[in-house]
Amino acid sequence: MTLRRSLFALLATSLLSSSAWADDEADPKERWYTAIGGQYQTLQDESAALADTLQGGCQNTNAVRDAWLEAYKTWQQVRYVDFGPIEQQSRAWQLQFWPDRKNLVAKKVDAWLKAPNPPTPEQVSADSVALKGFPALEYLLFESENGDTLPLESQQGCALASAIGQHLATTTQALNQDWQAFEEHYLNTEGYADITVESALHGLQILDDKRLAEPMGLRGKSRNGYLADAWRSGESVTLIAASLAGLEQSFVPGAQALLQQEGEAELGQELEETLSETRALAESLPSGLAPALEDEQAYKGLQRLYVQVEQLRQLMEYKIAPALDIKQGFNSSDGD
Amino acid sequence: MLGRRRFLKNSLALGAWAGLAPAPWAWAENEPLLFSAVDDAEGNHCLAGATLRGELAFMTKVPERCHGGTRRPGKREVVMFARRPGRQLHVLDIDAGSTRLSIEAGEGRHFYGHGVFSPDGRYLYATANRFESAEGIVQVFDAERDYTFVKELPLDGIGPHELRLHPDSDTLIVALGGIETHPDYGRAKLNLESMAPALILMDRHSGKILKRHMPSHHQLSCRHLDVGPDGTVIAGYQFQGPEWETPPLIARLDGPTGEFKELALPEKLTTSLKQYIASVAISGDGRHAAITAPRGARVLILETHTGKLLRELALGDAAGVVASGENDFLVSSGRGGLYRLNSTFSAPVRLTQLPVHWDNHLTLA
Repeated sequence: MTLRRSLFALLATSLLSSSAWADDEADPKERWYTAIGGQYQTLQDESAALADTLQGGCQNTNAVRDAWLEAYKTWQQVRYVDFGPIEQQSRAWQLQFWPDRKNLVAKKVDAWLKAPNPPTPEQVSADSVALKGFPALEYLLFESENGDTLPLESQQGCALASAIGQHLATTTQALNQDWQAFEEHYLNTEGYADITVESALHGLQILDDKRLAEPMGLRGKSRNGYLADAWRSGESVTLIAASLAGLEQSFVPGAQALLQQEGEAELGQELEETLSETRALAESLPSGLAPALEDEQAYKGLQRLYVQVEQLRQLMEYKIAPALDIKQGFNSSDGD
Repeated sequence: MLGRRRFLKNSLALGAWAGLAPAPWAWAENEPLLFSAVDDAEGNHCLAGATLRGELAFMTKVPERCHGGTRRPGKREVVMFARRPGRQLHVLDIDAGSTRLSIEAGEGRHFYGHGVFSPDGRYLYATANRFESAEGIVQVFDAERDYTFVKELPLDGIGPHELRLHPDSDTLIVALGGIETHPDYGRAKLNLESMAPALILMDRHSGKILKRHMPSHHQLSCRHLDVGPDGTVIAGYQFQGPEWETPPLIARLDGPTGEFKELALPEKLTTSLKQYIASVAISGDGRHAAITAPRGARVLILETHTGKLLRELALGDAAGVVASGENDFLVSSGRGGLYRLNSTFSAPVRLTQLPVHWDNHLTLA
């Protein structure tokens, strides 16, 4: 072997081993940072696409609805992240004001529908959080008192939807930019691994308690479909499936890396499998939650999903968090 | 020696607590007790009393999660407040270990979780919100007439939180958080871009605002405070801006000179506090202040007169803190522990570990 060839072989071996090393041993936080950043980029792109669709007019209701649902699903995927730039200016509330026990979305949207002129995106920005996000658009796209005309079909409704779409596009663009600027702080500040795991756990607790159990009547009160998110469009279960898929995409790889470091690789495997099964089950069910409350057969499907989500939550709460020595705080997570 | 013994009466709580709390669940007449809002292991919102040895004295359920409390001077009574945006305050009879009276904040009002009495124990001052117009107010109640509403003192600002009485007996010191909330919007913060927090001094008789000190950043929500015997105030902030910024989190108002100054802690420590101070207490002798930071899992001890950081102690989910005697503090953790901390010793001594989540504040009565 010539010197050149042997050097080449040596270089190739070291490149190979370093890339293999990078793959197996990638820092959990780097994995999370990159994957969550990818989700924020998609959210920005889909929100911009929704705003473009709305700017092009509202004649094609189905096209607007499709663009709305695509963008809304990308938000559900990364909704669990409750730290970093999403916390600025109450952005999570702006994107999705929920739960809405007082039907404020309807009140705020109706007020603008009756106004002499539609709002500018700046006026939307200065208005209530209930007017700013996906639920307000959902009202315009799906609320129909007499069963035929939608608010979107009026000139005022379409212009209002467009202004909200613009606001969403601006907000998600700023969110994505801020996430990019957040890199150094996230990677170099102690504690963000725990915070990321806690955010996933918190996301699952909300999914279990608030998005499923409460509307299903499993928390001491009767069934109430209005407590589900996206009840107007009948896409509650679709959004739950999107949230589960989002955890698979952006949370699991970093969690597996971290669990591997702690000698708990099999828990990482269990997380991946349980999450995947739960997501597949959610995808196999009818898209709406509220209609299933009136239909015992469909309700059984929801119960199966609830049982799966409970298992997933317990895996995180009682096995993974303790294995990582993470104790969920009381005042540290929800003080005043 | 124990005098008249009091036993837990709430059968529901008894069922939940059988075998968990240390015997004898009893306290002597006139024995000081610690009061706090707690969540039990099942997530029920309760009010709890504990002896200074860490024994649970009583626990009683309340409809809304509560927050801070205040002792009524001259009476065996403590008032506990619903947490923002809750609508009720509860008057506890210390000897009975139960709620004697619950008072509503009034039409269009919610409480912020804190209050304080006049020195004679007659008037209760509670921070509140006229939520349709987002006007921060101090509501005044007459405790001698079963806490009937007396009047409201406007603060010309949004989101008042903790308040204390100045040792001059006439001045209320109010931490104005600056954050707008509305019950219909749950815990959503509605005005993060236009916040105007302050530390306010107010004449409790006339309602006149005597002084308004502004934090150095409009998103530094001034939330909790205590005042020493010379009128020196230590206040804790919660920063609502980007988590990659590290503004100061503690302010000091000098009693004798009235100088208002924010305290710079080492940057690494400020970062570790995660922008959040929970509770502040000044020791009985006025020399030390203890500050809890649950997100940073720390208790800080400052020298009150200089603002100098003396020590930082690790404590997971550190929550409530209250002065006990001349130079001790009692500290709670959201994880269930109660601790005694001497301002000059290094480590907190655990008194008990109970299966409850102590909320952010402790009241000693």
